[in-house]
This record gives sequence, C-alpha cells and structure tokens, in this order.
Amino acid sequence: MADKMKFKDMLILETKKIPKFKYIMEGLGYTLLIISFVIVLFISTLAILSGYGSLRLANDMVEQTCLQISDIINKTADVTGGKLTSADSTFIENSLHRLECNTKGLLDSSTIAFLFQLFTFILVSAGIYLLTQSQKNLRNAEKMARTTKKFVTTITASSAIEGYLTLTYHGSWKLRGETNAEIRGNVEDYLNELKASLDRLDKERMGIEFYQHKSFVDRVVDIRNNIKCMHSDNKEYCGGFEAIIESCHKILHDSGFVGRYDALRDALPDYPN
Amino acid sequence: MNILTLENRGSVSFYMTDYLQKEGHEVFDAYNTGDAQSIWESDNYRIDCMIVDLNVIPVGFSTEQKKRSQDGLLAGWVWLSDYVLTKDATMRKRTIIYSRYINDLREDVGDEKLEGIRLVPKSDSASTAEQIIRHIQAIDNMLERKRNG
Repeated sequence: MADKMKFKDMLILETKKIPKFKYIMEGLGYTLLIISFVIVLFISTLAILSGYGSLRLANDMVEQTCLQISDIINKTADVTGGKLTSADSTFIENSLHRLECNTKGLLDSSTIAFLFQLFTFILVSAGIYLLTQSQKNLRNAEKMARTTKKFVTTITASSAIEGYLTLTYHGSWKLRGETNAEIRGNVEDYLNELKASLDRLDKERMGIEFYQHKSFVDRVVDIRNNIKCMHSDNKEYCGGFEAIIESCHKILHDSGFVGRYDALRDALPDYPN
Repeated sequence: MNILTLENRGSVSFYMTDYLQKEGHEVFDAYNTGDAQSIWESDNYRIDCMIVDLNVIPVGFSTEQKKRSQDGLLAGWVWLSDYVLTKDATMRKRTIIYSRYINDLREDVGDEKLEGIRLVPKSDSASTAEQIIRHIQAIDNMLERKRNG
C-alpha cells in the first residue's frame, strides 16, 4: 500500500512538472527557430546578391572579350585583308582562355551558393519537423501521465469500495441474527461511504476491472438479501438501507464501469493484459 | 417476452439480464423468493417465462416451507410449486430451472412433479447458457404459435 501511494504521489508530481518543462522546451525551440530563420534569411540574401553580381560580372566579361575580339578581327581585315598575325591569335586565345576560367569560377561559386541555400533550407525544414514532433511527443507524454494517474486512482478507489462492501456485508449478516445499535450504525455509515465512493467513481469517469465488477455485483446483491432477511427488531431500518443498496446496484449496473476500465487500461501501452 | 429471473448471484443475474434485454425481452430480476413473489403477484406484469435457480435466499417463507426447502437449497422449487404452479399450471411449460442441485430435486420430489418443466444442470461451462438460450427460444416460438392460433 505504501509503495502504491509512493508511486501515485510520484506520478502526481511528475504530472505537475510537465507544464513548466513544456513551456521551457517550447520557448527554446521557438527562439532557436527564429534565430536560424534570421541567419538563413541573411545568408540567402547575401548568396542571391553575390550570385547576381557574379552573373553581371560574367556578362560584362563576355561582352568585353567579344568587343576586343571583334575589334581585332575588324582591324586585321582592314590591314592584312583577313589574315591574323600570330600576336593577335595569341591575344585572342589568351582572352578566350581567361574568359573560360573566370566564367567557370563564377559559375562554381553560384553552384556553391545554391547548394548552401538548399542545405540551409533542408536544415530549417528538419528543425521545424523536429520541433513539431517534440511538441507532439510532449502532448502524448502529458496525456499518458494523466491516464496513468487516473488508472492508479481507479485501482485505489476500487480497493476502497471492496473494503466497504466487505464491512457492510459482515455487518448486515450479523443484523440477520441480532439487533445491535452499534452494528446498525456502522452498517449505515459503510453503506453511505459505499454509495459516495461509487458516485465519485462514476462522476470522475473511472472504471472497475471485469472480475472485480462481478464480485462487487455479487456482494451488493448479497447485502441486499441480508437486509431483506434482517432480524425483526431491525426491520424499521430496512427501508433506508434498501434504498441505499438499490442505488448502489443501479450505479454498478448502469455506469459502464467495465468498459471504462478497459479503455483506460488499453490507453497504457506497457500495461500487461 | 416478459421474463422473471430468480437468481441470488448478482453477477450471473447481471449478465443474463444484459443478454436477454439485448435479445429484446423484458427482464425482471429477483434476488430472493420475496422479490420473486412481489413481481409474480404484481398486476403490472404478465410473466411469460421464468428462469429459476434452486438455491436462493428464502424470504417470506414459513418454518415449514424453510424445512421443505432444505435450508434454502431447494427454495426456488418450493416457491415455484407453492405460489406459481398452484395459481397458473400453464407456467410449467414456460419455466426453466437451472441449478447444481437438479439431482437433489429429482430425488426429493420425483420426476412426476417435474414433468414439463425444463431442467438445466448448472455448470461453469458455456453449455448452461446455451441450453437456457435454446429453451427461451423454444418458449418464445411456442407463445408465438399460440398467439397466431
């Protein structure tokens, strides 16, 4: 019993801790997301600007080289009648080679910038996905803690009901053969406690295990029969006792405790069935 | 069909009632002979069928009846023979007695007095429930034929 209470207290404490933990985690997640978003935005802008500048530069280079080559060709046509001198040929070759190298270098830097953007995009997407997942996991953990707490409370409440049923049964059995004001008072108290416990169990949407429910129904009917057979001197109390036990029977009959217990137990994946 | 069940084990009565109600019957639970007598005597219900356990709490019995019931062992039968069959003999064919003490009853009252009554030995297996269901269907069909002339 002490272990059970310890476990229950621990669960309650753990459940209370969750909201604070949740807010810290969420806050951290959002801060990191905003920071990475700003960094990505900055780097992307830089990459786009640098890519645009590179393309402009490449365009200018091509334009300039074309102009130089066309100038040389025109001059050559005028002076030598279409034949290039070796110096012009070397100049054109060198110009084209320089153009090729520079353009290639500029295109490589554009590719790198694009890949970097792609990489940061994937990184941010993964961050958002992880943040959503962790939020989902946190909510699930919270729900699980609540279910576990409810399940443990259900078992504790059922044990209390079992105790009241046993006490009421023995008291009512004694009243079949004798008249004793003290026993009668005890039976009345136990019956009221029993009714209150069942009401609470029903109101808080908790359940009762199948075999335990069966034994409860048996016990309630046994108590009802004991009340019907009470000693003639106790007869004037029968009506009151009967009314309470009838309402207990009705709650047990109509409340769907077994279904609720099964639903609670099934919500706990590690609970041995 | 209006069915009266006399059974002092609450859980048995609980699940039997649940099943019969799902089958469309109106069920009246009695947990002792006193409850059964109140339902039987009431003008509000016309009982078509009875499912009676033998070993029930004898409430409202005289000393002689208690003695005949062997301290409750055959209380269901004593109530049935003294209050039901004397008033309506046709109930005989519409009564199911199920108990672990069927043989004790046969020895005590003899087969002649039990003629027409449907007897089901109680056991922990599902066969008891199956036999009771079969008997209820047969009684239901019998009443249906009677109604249709």
